[in-house]
Amino acid sequence: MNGDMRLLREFGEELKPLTDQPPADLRRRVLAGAVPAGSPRRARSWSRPRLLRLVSAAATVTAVLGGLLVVADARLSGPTPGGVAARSPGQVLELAAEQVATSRTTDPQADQFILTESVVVRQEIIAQGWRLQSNPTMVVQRWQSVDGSRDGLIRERPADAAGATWRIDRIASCGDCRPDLPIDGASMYRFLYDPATEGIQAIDGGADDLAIERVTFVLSSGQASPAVQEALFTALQRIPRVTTRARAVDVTGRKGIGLVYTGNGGETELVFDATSYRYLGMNRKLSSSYFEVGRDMSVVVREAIQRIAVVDRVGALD
Amino acid sequence: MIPLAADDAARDAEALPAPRTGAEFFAAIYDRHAAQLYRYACQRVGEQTAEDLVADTFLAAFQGRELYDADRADARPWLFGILTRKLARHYRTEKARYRAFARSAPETSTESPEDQVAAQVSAVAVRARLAAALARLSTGDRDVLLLVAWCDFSYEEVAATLGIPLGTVRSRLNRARRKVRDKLGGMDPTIDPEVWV
Repeated sequence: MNGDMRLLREFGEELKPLTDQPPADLRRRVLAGAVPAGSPRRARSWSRPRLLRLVSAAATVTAVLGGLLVVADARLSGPTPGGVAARSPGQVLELAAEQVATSRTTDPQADQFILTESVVVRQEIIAQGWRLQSNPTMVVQRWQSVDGSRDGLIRERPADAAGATWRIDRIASCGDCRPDLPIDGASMYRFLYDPATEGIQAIDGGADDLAIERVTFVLSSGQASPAVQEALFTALQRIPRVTTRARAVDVTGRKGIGLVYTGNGGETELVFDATSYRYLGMNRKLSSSYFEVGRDMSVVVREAIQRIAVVDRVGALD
Repeated sequence: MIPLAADDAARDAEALPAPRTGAEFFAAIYDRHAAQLYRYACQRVGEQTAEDLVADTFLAAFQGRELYDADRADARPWLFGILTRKLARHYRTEKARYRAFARSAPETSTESPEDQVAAQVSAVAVRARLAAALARLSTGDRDVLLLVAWCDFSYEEVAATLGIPLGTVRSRLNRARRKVRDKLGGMDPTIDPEVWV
C-alpha cells in the first residue's frame, strides 16, 4: 500500500470506537425497533415524521421478529458478557456484577484471608506555582482476615523495582476491616446510605457523596470478595449522577470504560474492562474541600487491582 | 476488518429476500455486519451519531429487503450503500470532526529550520493535514477514498456500494488521493514513509 493510503489507514485506526462491537442496546433497538426509555437525546432529535416512521418500522420488525427479543435479551444476560459494549452506567454495572457472579468459585471461609494485589500511586498538585509532587508508584499486597478475627498484613514495594525489599506493615488486629460487609445488593445499598453505618463519616457532602466514599472504601480496603463486589455493583446502580466515560485508563495503562461520579470532594472514576466488565481499579481526584486544608490543592489517587484471591494464611500468594 | 467467508456471504443472499426465515437471517446478518458498519460510521461521524445511523441503516435494510438483489452473494455493499447515503446527511458533522482534528495540531513554526523539520515529522501534524484534506474533499470522492482505505473494499465493491461505474471509482479515487498528497505538503510519503510516522 502506498504511503498516503497507509497514513489514511492509520488515521482511521485512531478514529475507531473503543471496542469493535457496537453498543449492546443497538442490537435490541434494531431487532425490536425500540427506542430506549428515558433517552432525551433521541427524543429531542427525532422529528415527528421520523419518529412515526421508526415506530412503524419498529412495529414491523417486532411483529416479524417475535421471539428474537428473547434471544437478544438472553445474550445480554448470558454468562459471558464480552462481545457487546455497554453504554449506560446501569448496564456497565449490571454486566460487572454478572461478571463477578460468573467468575466466583467458592465463597471464602471465615478463617481464610482475602489477598488483594494492586498498583497504587498518589500525586499531590498544589495550585500555588502548580507544583506536582508525585510519590512512587507502589505495588501493594494486602491480606485481610475474612471474619476480622486474625491479624492481616500489608506489604509494598516500588512498582519499578521488582527486586526491592518489601516494606511490611502488620495490620494490628482487624484494623479497619468490616467483616459484616453485605453480600446482596439491597443490604449493600442500605450500608452505603445508612447514616448509622459506622466509620467513613467525615465527608462534607450529601448522602450520595458519602455513598460513593463508602464504595471506594470497600473496593480499596482489601475486603472486596467476589460476593461483596457483586453486591456493591448491584447497589451502585441506584446511586444517581454516575456517568460513563468511554476511554478510561487505569494507573497501569489498561483501557476500559469509566464510571464517573463528581461530588463535593472531587471526582471518582471506577474503571471496568470494556469487554469482560471486570473491575480494574479507580482514579480519584480529590480537592481541597475533601481534605479541609487551607491551601488550594488536589490529590490524585490511582489504584489498579491486579488480582484478588482467597488464601488460607497471611503471606500466601495462592 | 474481518472478511466474510464465502459460505457466509452466500447466506446473505439467501437470507434477506426470504419472508419465512428473513427475521432470523436478518438477525444473523446484523451480527455479521453491524460491527463493520458501526466502526466505519464511528470513524466518519463519531460514536453518538454512528449508533443512530447504524440503527437506521438496518431498519431501512429490513424494510427494503424485498428489493435486495438476490444474485448478490454478499450483503455488505448493499448495507454500506444505505449507510453511505445516510452519512451524506451528516456531512456537516463529519467535516466539523475533521476540522477539529486539523486544529488539534501544533502550529508550524517558521522561526527556525529545526522547528520546521520537527513539525513535518510530527505524526500529529500529519494527522492534522490528513484531516484537513478529508474535510475539503467532495462527498463522492471521500466516500470512495474511505471505503478503500478504511474498509478494504475492492474497486468492484465500491462500485456496487455506491452504484457507480468502475471507471468513476478509479477517477474519484485518483482525484481524492492527489488532493490528500497535495495537502500533505507536496512531499511524497511513499519515498520514505517512516519519516511521516
